[in-house]
Amino acid sequence: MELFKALKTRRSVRLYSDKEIELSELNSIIEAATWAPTAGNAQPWFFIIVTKHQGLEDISNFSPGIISKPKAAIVACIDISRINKEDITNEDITVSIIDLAMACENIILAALDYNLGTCPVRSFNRVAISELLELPVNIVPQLIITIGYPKNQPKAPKKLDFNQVINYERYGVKSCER
Amino acid sequence: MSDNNKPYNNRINKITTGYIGYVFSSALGLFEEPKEYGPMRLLFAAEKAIELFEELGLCNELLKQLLVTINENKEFLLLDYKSLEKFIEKESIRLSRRVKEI
Repeated sequence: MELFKALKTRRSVRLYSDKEIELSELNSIIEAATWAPTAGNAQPWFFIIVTKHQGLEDISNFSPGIISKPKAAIVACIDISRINKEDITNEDITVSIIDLAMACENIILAALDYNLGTCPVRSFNRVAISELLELPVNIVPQLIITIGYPKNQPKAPKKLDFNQVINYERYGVKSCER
Repeated sequence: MSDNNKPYNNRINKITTGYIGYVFSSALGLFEEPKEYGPMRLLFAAEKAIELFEELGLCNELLKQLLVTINENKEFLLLDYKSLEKFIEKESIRLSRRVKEI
């Protein structure tokens, strides 16, 4: 799908059909994630793909933000061990989360190429999900992306007017003189 | 417990424990999430409870219909807080009437 069309037609899909997703497509979508920008090339991300029914049921039970039954879930984590510093600060964690967020956007857009819908979910029980997935302490879940073939195409949400979100050269300058 | 019943009993243990996990996770999330999420979380907890009752063979017709209704309106109710309130109020009346009849 052409990029700007993908950006504008992407929706958060919460209702999915029963159609299975090919593992090769899921792997390809994760590969797209790994090409996201990353500070100092740290690549501080780690993904767990869950496709089995029981695993999805268990994750959904501890994720109030998952409101339907996806065919797969991608648990997107930061891997703190990839932060190449002795004393890791809050800023280091923030930067890792920003890197992961950019990778997750790649997942969401790459999924569109396979006609798959996604929904990023932050409302989940982090300690319980870590326990369920047997994550080591350095792998910290930040986002769950549900994925599947959409049952419908949700309507576009109301977006802020373009002029409300942009200034030029410095804050307060609403027009660009060139 | 006979071995024949073990898979079924395991399933019951799994879904009942998982359900309580869902309710606890909803509660935990609400410490940080906007308070407006509360009613929606409870509605979806009710939905999960009905699914649980259905699997256990404990679901009456009203609850089965409620499950269908929640499913059909889910996406819309997520976006419209006032409609969510009206929906919950309407179904509360229906439930209380049913309880009165029993």
